[in-house]
Amino acid sequence: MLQKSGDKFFKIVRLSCIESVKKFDCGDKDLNDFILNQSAAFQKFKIAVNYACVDVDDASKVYAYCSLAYDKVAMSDFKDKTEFNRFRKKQGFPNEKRLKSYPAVKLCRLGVDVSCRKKQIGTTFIDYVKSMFALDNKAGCRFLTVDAYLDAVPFYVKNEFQFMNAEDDDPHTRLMYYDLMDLEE
Amino acid sequence: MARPIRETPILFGEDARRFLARMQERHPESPEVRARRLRNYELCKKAYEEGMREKRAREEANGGFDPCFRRVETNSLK
Repeated sequence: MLQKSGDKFFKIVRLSCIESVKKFDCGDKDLNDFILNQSAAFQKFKIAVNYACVDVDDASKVYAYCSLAYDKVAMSDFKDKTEFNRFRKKQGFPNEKRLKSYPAVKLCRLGVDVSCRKKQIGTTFIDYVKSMFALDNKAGCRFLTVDAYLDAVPFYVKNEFQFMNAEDDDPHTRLMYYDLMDLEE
Repeated sequence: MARPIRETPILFGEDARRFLARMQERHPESPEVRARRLRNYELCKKAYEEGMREKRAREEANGGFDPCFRRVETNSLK
């Protein structure tokens, strides 16, 4: 799948805040603009960290790009507090779990270059991020979240992401999440 | 200019109820998916270690800057 003559197909680098990729085209103007022109500023101001999957022989050739940031999933009270507490008690939440928000990591942007489509590099990278925050995490993290472009929604569904809102009528994106507890055996 | 990323909203009402209910359920991966994910994780971990080792070497050889990338000056978030 991701092999090139028995060797690895790509390497991964974390970009510094003064670096941007030279060339990248994921087929979406908006996403290209962010990756080529804005992502370094997000890294500089510590809003996100940028990773690039690059060719194994030529690191200036970028196959995929990803920006990650910490996030949280928060819940307001139900219609009233009594109703919410009744539900939580009924579901048997242990006391220490009675939180209204849970730590998460947001896939701010994830793009695959058009030259590298159909090679499952997106799924490979999602598998990496899931495992990284479940097995090698330096801080608690329960969910991955993403604001998925409409045409990328099938990709996230295939990777077991769930819709956050039952009714989301944004014309461009859908908010989705993945529960890292699903990785527990 | 790129569209801003939507913030993860505070869930309420039926969305919060559905979310909390799903948290209580178990949805384990299939053995095949688990094996693939762990294989990809190991592959990417090595790809990252090698990628960063080579990147540091390029930076060292070029006065602190990796010539595989474009130098950018950023003074503000747009």
